[in-house]
Amino acid sequence: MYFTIHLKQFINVKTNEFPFDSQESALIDKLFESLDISKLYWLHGYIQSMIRAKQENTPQSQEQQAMQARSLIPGIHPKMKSLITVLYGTQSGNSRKVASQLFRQLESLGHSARLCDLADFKCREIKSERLIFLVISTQGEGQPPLAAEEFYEYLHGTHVPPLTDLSFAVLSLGDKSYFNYCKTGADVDLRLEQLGAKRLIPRSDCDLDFKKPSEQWINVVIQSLSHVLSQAAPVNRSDARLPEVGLPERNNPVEAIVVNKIRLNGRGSEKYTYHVELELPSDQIAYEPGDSVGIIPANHKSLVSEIIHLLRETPETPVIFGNSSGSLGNVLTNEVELTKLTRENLESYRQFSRDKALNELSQDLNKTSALLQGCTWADLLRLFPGRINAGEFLAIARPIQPRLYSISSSARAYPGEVHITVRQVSYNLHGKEHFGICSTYLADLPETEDRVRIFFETNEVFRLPSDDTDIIMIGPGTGVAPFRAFMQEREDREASGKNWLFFGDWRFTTDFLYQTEWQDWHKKSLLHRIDLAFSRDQKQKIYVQHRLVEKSRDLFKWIENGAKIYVCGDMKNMAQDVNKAFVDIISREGGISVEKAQEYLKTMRKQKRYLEDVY
Amino acid sequence: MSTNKDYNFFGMEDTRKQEVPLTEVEHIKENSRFLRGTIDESLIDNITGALRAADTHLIKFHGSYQQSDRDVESERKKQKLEPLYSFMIRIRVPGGIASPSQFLRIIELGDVYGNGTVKLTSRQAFQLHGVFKHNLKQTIRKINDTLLDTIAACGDVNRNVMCNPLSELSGIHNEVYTDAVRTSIHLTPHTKAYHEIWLDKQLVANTRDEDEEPIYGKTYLPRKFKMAFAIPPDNDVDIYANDLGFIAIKDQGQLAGYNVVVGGGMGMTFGNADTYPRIASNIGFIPKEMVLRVSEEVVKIQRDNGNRSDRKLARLKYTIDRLGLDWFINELQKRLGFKLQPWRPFTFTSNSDRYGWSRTTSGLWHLALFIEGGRIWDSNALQLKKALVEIALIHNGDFRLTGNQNLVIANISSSTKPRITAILNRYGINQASVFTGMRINSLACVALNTCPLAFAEAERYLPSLIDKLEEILKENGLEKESISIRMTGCPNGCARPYIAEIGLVGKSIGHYNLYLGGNTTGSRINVLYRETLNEQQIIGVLSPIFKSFSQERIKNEPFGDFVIRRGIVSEES
Repeated sequence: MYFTIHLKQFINVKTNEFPFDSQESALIDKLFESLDISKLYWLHGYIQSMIRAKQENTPQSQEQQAMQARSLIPGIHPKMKSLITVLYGTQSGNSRKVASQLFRQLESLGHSARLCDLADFKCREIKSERLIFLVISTQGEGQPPLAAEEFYEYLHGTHVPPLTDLSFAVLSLGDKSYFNYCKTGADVDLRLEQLGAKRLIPRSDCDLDFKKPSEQWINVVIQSLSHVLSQAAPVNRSDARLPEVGLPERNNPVEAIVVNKIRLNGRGSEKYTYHVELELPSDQIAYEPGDSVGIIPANHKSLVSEIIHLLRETPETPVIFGNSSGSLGNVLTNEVELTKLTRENLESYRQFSRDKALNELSQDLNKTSALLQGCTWADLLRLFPGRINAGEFLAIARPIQPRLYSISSSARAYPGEVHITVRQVSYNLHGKEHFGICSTYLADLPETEDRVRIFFETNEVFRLPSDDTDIIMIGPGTGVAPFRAFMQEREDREASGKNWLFFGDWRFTTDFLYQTEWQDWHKKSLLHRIDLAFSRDQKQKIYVQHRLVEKSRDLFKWIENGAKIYVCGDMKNMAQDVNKAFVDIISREGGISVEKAQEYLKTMRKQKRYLEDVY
Repeated sequence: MSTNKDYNFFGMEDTRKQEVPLTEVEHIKENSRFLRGTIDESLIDNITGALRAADTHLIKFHGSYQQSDRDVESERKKQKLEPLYSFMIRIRVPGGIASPSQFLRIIELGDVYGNGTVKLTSRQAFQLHGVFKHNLKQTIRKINDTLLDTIAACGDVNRNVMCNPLSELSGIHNEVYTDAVRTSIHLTPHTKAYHEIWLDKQLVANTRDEDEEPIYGKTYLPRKFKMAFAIPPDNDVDIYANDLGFIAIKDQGQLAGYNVVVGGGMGMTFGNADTYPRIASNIGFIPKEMVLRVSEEVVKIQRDNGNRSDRKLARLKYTIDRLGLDWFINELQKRLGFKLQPWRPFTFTSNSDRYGWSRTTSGLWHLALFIEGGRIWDSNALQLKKALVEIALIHNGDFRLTGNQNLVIANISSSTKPRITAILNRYGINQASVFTGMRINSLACVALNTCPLAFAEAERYLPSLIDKLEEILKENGLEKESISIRMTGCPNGCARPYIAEIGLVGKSIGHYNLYLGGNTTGSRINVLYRETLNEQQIIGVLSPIFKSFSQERIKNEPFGDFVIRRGIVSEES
């Protein structure tokens, strides 16, 4: 395993609470140290079931029940700002009305509560919740309202954690003339219990005339709450923090689990951009916004079989490659770089191929560069056939290269997760369709459950400034990824600096990556300005650099005010065009010559106020 | 339990009391500076394809609804994309008459900015669907270039005024049609907001607010207002479903005046017993010269007395039932300064369209075509749009939209007639007589995937349901029987399902309430027969009724009368 944790590290530093004696703790450490991740996952489920079974098999006295009621509310999770969350899932607004009514009563009674639409609720944060009151309606023949669909699916999915710290009550709205009357509420109520949460009061189902029963339910909620809260001793758990751990590095990758994969482009788009959420083996892997994640991909089946064919071998042939051995098929799939060739690869291969053309070509530096562009081993073997067997091939090939992606999540906002934003690359070369190895590898992953080998690469330069500094973010296409992480981080830190995003892509309706998140930040006045350039929504192409120039006056004000500029994305064209646009802006608005403006920008770069993460 | 009266959470209080707060929409209208709101800012806010919330109410007065594609709503939410917002644009065509060049231009705008289709509505208007926000302004401007417009096509105002499109034989069609157009113009909002926002006309300096809306005032009407003109014996405009209807009365071959009906309306809300469809009431006869004054005063009575605290109870029909029909007549007479004359006799024979060829008194030809679901589009099976475009290019008469979502190619000269016939034949566009009587008497609203109110399918689904019902009709020899069937995706009733012989009102995906017993002149509300049926159950329930209808009907007895006579449903008193 990559890092070691001892049970003793989980001692509550404030209370010095630690329930194990040293023998138990040593035994547990010893056992767990030897287990790999998959075994730990098994145990994870096993322990949950064990807890539940033990709870169920112990007959409870009144006294014990009261004890349990007291222990129901273990204090506010450090991430939560209030103890009670009133959630609603609504289509017509009725559930919102009832939830707001409950919320207002809770507030007037001095409870620390928040009101949240399930549409805005971050599902995975449910594990930090302690007390949830949920009002939810049922649509048509038993469907959840659209706004609650994601929550419903999450709750019934395989990645929902046990919710033993949670207490809840559900009010279900519906229409009795439908067969599956109030089904959604009933499902959620049952599911929460299955996940180990404690039901405070029985669910109540309301027909169309929901006024009376919902008021009754609210009354019962308030009563039960005063009972529970008056007995619950406030426990502050915020000190029970886990130890910080370092980042897994390139030579020491860890296995992450794909928990979610979504295509971000809407129906009808030509683009395939994926948002991939990976679950890390620990909540404590504290990468920073601006860092990159390295993915060790696997080669595509079709490419592997073509190469085996060109080598005139079979996939089963046992081979050795570096320190690893296995069948040729497996080794080529997982260990050998097949899509990115180096000059050395070409030079080594030349000796096996007697091809004249290749010989001539290799004299010319420009031509070899052009050839290597996007060229795979299969292309080379096919275009310039030679006598080379599997062993010889493996001797000149290099190990598979990880691909780096700018992380699109903040570890503060999503502890234990890392998100990436990947656009599937495909191109035509030598009359054949080629696919980017890693983007295709990720795009082809199943939506959940698969494991990926990853590591982190820090970027000490592309870092958020102090919280009170303004930032200007320019990230068209997938270049927007780190800025999503920036915004999450700044939201979580309640940073006071202003934020301005420039984003662009092909079409507004389908290619506005993370649209609803930007809208949400904009609505909350966290994203102060956003300018968009969709190149194919009108006849003449509009790109981010055009939007920059349009906003030159305000941009210059921001710059003079100390704003930091971040550019992420395409190196070849975009970064240069953006750079040029800023020279224009500074020259025009500052009333200085182009040369002076270039100096100005150079100084900004030196002062790390103009930062690029381009590729 | 707090009993804080400030919160009207449940909307269930008695809304007739004065102290009940106004609806949110009333405040939006009040603060809109005569329908301007912040629409111009909403249009240039390019972070979203939607308008600001308040502007989504105001845009209706300009003739457009913000909608979203509900087929992709759920998947886009996961994709972190907002709903695929687009706009429906309703184009007013008072009396339903449009020129070939207008017709062509509307089709073209649907192709360039819309989803490539044009919907003919159940109230003689054109509708474009799927126009994105960034194209909205130029689309509306180009519609105005054709001399049609969209103002007041939706919203709490008098909307498109209907008139029978095909009553040439009556000899008074032109006069009644002219009255329809005059009334429409008379009741069009005066606000300059429309011109400023869509046509970039400069704000007129020193316009005093009070001058802007002499009829409506700054909060307009409490709810939509629908008006129609009918020329007996045709009731294809479904006059009784309108807030205000004028039934033309002839005297010695000349137009004498109109019987006036008030308080019709279809909409209701499931689970709200205070809402119901209502047939308009007869209130008397007026001379033809009084039509503008009467329409204006009826609108003003509703303006001053309609319910502005609950939009579900705000139509004129509820105002009349709340205050009494006698009160209404008195109030109207007081405002007019003269008494309504006694109701004059007339007869309606049908609320269906007169399909096929007919000859006008001046020797020209009309052809009334059945347009399924009112949708002009090209499918793989039928290139209806292409055919109609070809016809419009050579046609020198006009086009007429009917209240049954159909299209009349009107005033065809004898020389063009064979060329139009040839185009129809070439594209395989059938005459209505080819279809079953049920299909050509079918109406469906838009519903899914764009209508935000829909619980269920309607336009996209009804044709395939009729396919299945036709098999049973054929087994019983009823395929030529005119049986009206109307389907809506929600209880608001855009396709007027509550006066159909068979009404199907969507409850949830795949499930409908079944109503039976409307009549063939659109003057009787049907009755709820079964609730929440799926397709199999609809067919299962209707099959034995069709069978006994074929065996036990009295000669020429319409289906809707039969189900009442046999007590399958009992007519509501």
